[in-house]
Amino acid sequence: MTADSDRDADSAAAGGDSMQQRNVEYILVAEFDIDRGAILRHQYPRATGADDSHLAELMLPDGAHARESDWTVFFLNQKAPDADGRVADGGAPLLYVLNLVRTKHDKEVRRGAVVKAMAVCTRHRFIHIYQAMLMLALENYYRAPTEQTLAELYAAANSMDLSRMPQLSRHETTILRFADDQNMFEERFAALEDERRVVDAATRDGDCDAMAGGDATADDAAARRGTVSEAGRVRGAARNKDRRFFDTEIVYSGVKLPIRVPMTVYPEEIGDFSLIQLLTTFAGAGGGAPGGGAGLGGHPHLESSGPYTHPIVVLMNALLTQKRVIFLGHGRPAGEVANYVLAAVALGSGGGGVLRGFANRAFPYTNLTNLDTLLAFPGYIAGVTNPAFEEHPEWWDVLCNINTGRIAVSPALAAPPAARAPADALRRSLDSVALARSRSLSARDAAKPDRWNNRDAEFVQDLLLAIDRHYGEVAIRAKVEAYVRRFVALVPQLAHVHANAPADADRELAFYQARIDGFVASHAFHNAVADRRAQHAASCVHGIDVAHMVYALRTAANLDVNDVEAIFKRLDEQVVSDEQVTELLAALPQSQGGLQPLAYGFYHPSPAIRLHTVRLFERIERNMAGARYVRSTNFFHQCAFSNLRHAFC
Amino acid sequence: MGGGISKMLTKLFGNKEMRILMLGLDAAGKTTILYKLKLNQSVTTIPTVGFNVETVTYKNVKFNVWDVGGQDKIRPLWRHYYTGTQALIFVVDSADRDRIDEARTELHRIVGDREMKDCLLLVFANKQDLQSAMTPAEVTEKLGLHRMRDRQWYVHPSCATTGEGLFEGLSWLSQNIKTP
Repeated sequence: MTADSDRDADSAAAGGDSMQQRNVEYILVAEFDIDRGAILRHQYPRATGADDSHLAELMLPDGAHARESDWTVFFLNQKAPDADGRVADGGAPLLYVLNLVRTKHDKEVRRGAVVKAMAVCTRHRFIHIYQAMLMLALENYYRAPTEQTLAELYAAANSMDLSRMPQLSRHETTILRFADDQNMFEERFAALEDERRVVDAATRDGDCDAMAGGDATADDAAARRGTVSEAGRVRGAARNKDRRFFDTEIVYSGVKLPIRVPMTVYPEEIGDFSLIQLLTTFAGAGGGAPGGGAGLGGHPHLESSGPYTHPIVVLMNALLTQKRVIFLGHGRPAGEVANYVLAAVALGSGGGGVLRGFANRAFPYTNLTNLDTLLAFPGYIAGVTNPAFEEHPEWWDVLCNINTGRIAVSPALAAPPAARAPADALRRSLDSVALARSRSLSARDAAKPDRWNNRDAEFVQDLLLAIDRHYGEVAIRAKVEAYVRRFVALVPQLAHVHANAPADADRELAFYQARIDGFVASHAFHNAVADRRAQHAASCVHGIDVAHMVYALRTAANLDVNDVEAIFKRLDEQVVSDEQVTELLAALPQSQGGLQPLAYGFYHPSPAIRLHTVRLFERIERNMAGARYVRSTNFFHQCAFSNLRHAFC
Repeated sequence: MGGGISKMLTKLFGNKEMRILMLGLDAAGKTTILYKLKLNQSVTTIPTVGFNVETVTYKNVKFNVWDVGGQDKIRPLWRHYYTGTQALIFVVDSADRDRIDEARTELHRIVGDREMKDCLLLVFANKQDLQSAMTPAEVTEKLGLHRMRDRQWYVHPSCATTGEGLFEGLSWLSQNIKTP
């Protein structure tokens, strides 16, 4: 927050718009000068602080001369780790940059073409909402290459009204993300809309001082912007909207651009990427050893199931153990390559929602000019179009070739020090078993050489089957989230302390030991430890792990009556306030059956459990989202609820 | 394994591959040469942002030609392309007398790099169609090529737009390539 207020203070000094956070922080323009190469022409309203030529190079991607237009994505304020590999918290916030480059052929000019690029730098992770605006603005800039063009764009983008967008907490975001009912938080939207309408009316009724804007409050300033299209919005509010998005607009150079802001993005989801595309691209090359079959002796962090580790698992391992990953798309648009990197960030971070720190080391589009910066980030995730990278395996650990769908492990990647000899020995013996078996089996069977590989093989199969059946991005990301969450829970330092650990946990731990060793040395791990502490402090439900209890109920096979009663009793006692109910609901996503695991309590032989269940449901029903959860449970559960409710009264 | 047979076939039929790096000052005509070789037609080119890479087959030799942008600011990036390069084609605008010294400096910097110590050097004295063009002998002299002792080099006049001289240059390369 201190960084925010600093920035706001300096914005006020720089010609003061409002106290609010801006939508767009900077607008940049670069041009390929035929004599001098990539040049940064403008930074508006002031310099970003990043190196000029560095920015220009990232805005004018390799091969820009060969296509009419292209997009690149890169980030500002990324923090390189210090000598100990730690990344300091705080400082300037990460800015996401969306850039459009266009090549215009023109016989009149020397050497026949003009290549210009324009970028917006924003704190919004949903950078794709600015695409249409950038396309218009770059056209305008070609016509009028002046700072005035940028000023107009900057003002328009920052007039986009987000004041009626409800601020959802992390738990609420999860609830809405997996909700069957898209109106989960309808009341929150409606309340803000009503409030705004009242303020708008008041403003219109002659409060001209605020319009003049000498010392307007933030509310007034926002209201001023709100009036632009007030009529349109009142009409819209009456309709039944998809509340997973917030609808607003940008009015730029006389054009109203409708904007849909996604409400359900997780912290490490940036832009409009496709995880499905990433998975399908690299699913095909299965079977072959990622080391290229060159007998490199697979790296234990990467080839968790020996030489037959599925390429997607190799990629997952590389991301979790913080290896340097490059996506190479020779001859492809930079924008396409960038999407692979953004998808990889979501893959490693668990659908964007489990681990963090991946975006800080992601370079969705980069090139040779940025090599030194890149190499300063251990475990960078970068997108390039230049095949020169493929010829320098000393620069990367894992290279994913988008054109061939193959994932290669660098021969230069050194094996980690054998810190845990016994576990290593166990893993090696597992590997040798795997190898021995796979040799006697067909290549197809080799995908699961032994029981302990099944979790990874199943994970990949499940993903690919789901994609085959046209499951959407959210569903696929949820599977990745579950997988990463499960892995993180295995890590001893992050594991839940619970009595009824699955019997096979030890062997699973042994199987993943190499990956865990690699993960524990990563920045994501340190973040996870810090987050866990913060979470414990901030959690609304103290003393119990709601998510774990729900997990236990869901997979209730080995719970006896006392265990079940203990769980329901604690939930009943601890989940009281509205926030606590919200936290419980977040652990019960509708896409996974919602209240189903709790509803079984209605039919339990133990009257105590039935009573706890009814009391819990009554509290859930008083919660805004909870009421919708209760309504969406099936008819039998609802009958049981209402019957038991009367019985206990 | 199967590699042995294909190696034999390569020896029999001479399917050689050659990695070529084409450098030179901006507007020397590198990209025009590349696409004249590749497509055998004269294309209007615009300044290269980054690089172009194409495969050209000539006389059973597969030439893998990298053409890298030549603006002053991006010349430091050239070194990233040196690894594995067997031949350097250095393109000179023969009519640009003002910058021939600049070209010489750049050329000597490139061939002075350790990774380029074994590669062949072909200089195209390009834009021979222009009135004021220097002759190949003049270009040789101005580039200080006679001072290069331990290197095979060859200067050939060319005109990228008509294609004159380009294939003669490639012939020289294919005759002098060292088979590994």
